[in-house]
Amino acid sequence: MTYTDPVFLCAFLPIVILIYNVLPQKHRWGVLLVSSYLFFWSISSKLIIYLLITTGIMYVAGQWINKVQGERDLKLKEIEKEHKKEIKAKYNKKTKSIAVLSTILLLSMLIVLKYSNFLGTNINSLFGFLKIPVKLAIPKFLMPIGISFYTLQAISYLVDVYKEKIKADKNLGRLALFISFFPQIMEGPICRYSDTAEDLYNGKKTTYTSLTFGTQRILFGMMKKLLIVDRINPVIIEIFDHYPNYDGGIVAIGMVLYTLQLYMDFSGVMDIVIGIAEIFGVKMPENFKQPFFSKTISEFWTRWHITLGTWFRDYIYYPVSLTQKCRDITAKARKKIGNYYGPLIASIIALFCVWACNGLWHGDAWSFIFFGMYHFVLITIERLTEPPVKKLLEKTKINSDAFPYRLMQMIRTTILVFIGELFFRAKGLKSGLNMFGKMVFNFSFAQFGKVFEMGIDVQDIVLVGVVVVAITIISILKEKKIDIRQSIANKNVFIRWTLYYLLIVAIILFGTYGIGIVHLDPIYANF
Amino acid sequence: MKKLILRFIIFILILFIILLILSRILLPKNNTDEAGMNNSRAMKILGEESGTVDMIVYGDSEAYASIIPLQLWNDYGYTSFVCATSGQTLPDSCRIAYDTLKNQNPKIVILEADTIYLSSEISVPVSRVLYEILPIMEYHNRWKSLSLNDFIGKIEHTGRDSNKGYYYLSKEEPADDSRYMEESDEIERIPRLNKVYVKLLKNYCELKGAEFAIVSVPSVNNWNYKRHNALKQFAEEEGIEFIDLNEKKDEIQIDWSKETADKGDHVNYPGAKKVTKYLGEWLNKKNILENHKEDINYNFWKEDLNIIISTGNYY
Repeated sequence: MTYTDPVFLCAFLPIVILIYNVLPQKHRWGVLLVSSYLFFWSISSKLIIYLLITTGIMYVAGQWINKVQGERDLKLKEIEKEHKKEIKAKYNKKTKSIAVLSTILLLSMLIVLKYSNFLGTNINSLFGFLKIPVKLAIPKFLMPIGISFYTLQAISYLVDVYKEKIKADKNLGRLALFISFFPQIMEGPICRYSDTAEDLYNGKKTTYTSLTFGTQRILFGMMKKLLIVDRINPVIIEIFDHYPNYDGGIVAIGMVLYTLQLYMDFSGVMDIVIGIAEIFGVKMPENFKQPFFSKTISEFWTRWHITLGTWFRDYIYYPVSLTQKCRDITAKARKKIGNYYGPLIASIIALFCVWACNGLWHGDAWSFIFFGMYHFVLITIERLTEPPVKKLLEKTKINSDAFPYRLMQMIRTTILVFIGELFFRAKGLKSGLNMFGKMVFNFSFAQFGKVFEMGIDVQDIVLVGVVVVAITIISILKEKKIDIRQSIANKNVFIRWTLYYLLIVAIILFGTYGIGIVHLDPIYANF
Repeated sequence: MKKLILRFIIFILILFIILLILSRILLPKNNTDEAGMNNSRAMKILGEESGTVDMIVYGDSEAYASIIPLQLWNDYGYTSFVCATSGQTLPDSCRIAYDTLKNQNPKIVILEADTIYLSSEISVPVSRVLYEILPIMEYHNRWKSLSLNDFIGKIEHTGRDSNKGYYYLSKEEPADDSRYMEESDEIERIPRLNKVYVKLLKNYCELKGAEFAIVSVPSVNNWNYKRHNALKQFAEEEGIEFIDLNEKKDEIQIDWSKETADKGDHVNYPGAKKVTKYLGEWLNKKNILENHKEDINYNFWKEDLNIIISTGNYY
């Protein structure tokens, strides 16, 4: 069952909404929890055990940290001021140990289930290279849906409890719902406890506004998924699977289409997820903010998969750059290379850790690690060249705020993103490099007509073009901070309903679904 | 809240009416590929004269690759039609049965067993129900080929298939049959939902006066003893006649080195001839079908046979 499955949209979701609203407020969180477990079970069946273990670890470790912190506070009240620091350090060491241990437990589960194959294969290759006559047996595990997402949520909860940003939740039900809420379990967004737990537990009644706004958002997401993602899929499969048969021009088309597909797929699911949550009165964090309007790669990553970016920022980048070692490096470097480049060294070290993890988080293959390193290098170059570029702009009197300059930056960033996604989708690093080589050394427009032999026709291309233009216009309006949904809500009922009907009919009529259609699995659900 | 529910109901009603109107436009106006009909080979039965088909077969590609109605006609004068479609699920079989049994009164309906082990996900029947209520869901892709006739034309079924649903496969790709039908006491569970659909189909056929039987045609890749055991047990429980042609391998003697089109998935034409021969003998023994060879009302069967013979490919 996926979010665009007719069973989900026409049966599961309406039934959950109905039961949720019929029951008294105090029981509504229970409806959400039971439906979340049912949803999880429908996809991963017995593997739900991993979700339950994660919830258990969160609960026990959270309560334990809370207890130790409580004991510390009592102790601090009793003792003299001069001993307070010592007591604090003693108890903090204990809470840190619990947080570290539980995080290791959570990460171990993720690593064993997700990376056993990758690690085993690479270790065996290394043994082979070193001529060590040992071959490890590589176990195969089935992965529960969303493990990469809910594990990060669980870690953020425990770290936040440890850092006393939040209190450990004594209510196991609320904690279980926070980690398993069915719309977000498959592809996120990666929520913080302080973002959603309370809203989920409160069980706000569905209102006219939440229902219509949520439905609009769901329809918008479905438009992206059903009108574009599966329609262009045959072309992408053909190009990426048989790239040796094509020249660089066709490979470039495949690269652009895959980036479009990935964006439409992931942001489409996010629209559906956020829309569903809205119907239940829960405000989920946004995961996309018009990423293709970014002027730099750093900015791109603050607009694309935002919740993953902020997670890495808060739980890897800051902790690494604030380690004593990094602070020492910064202090020394400041003296030698100044106030801009000095702190940059520690920042680059932290960035390296972030992007290595980011690459690995996406999958167990070297191409994903390359994808992470590619962005690390781009961001590092951006940071290193920032002062000279600024100086150059001043000297040449180029206005960096002028539209042509910003447009040039956006186009440059988009092209760099395209290249990154080429490696992301390619079947292995070698294929990625070969495909990139084709684009550089063998580019031509000669084979463009072959696209029509790959399972799409002129009507499909026109349709995709129209939808992309429509989504671009909506993105521009959003960028200008125009609240489209509110603008629609302000119109009279005739215009409003006509718009809804047009959107629904467009999805039903032009959607890619039905007999003979093999749907692309939600791309990010596999990470 | 009441106001909200009322608004919601009005909204859905209007939407439903819009979709019904669009469904009427998009519904194919004939049972042919050109008109946009899905599974047109199977649906060509709608172009057969009313009440002239005595045996109908439902199932997936195993059925349409293995059973040759014109051979049954040639050997025994039996009239049959294979309403099988690629990957036909049981909800699809039920749906096609509902359409085809409207103007045909077969004496026997056969369900090919492979379909009983196809997808049993709840989404299959849900989609099927949606397609039935709103055909736009099934035929939405026809927006690309709409013509004026789709807006003003009547629905008619004039498309006919001289091969009566059989799909000719000539390729030879040998199969490894070393482990084919190795005896076993184990059972491969039949999906619960599929059992429900088989019962539904059986009841509906019997209501329409047709005997219902399950036949498993030979396939190295798709059949084994575990499935045989499970289906035998189920058929006994439900009082359904079950013939497993895989179990009769010594009698039918498919040569898997030559008589399969795709490494044991489907039999090719020589294999299908052997399967149909056995099926014909079985039907003959049952003595429930009439020989229509001398009936002038069935002359079109002779014409269809001549059409296929004239293609020169086979028969």
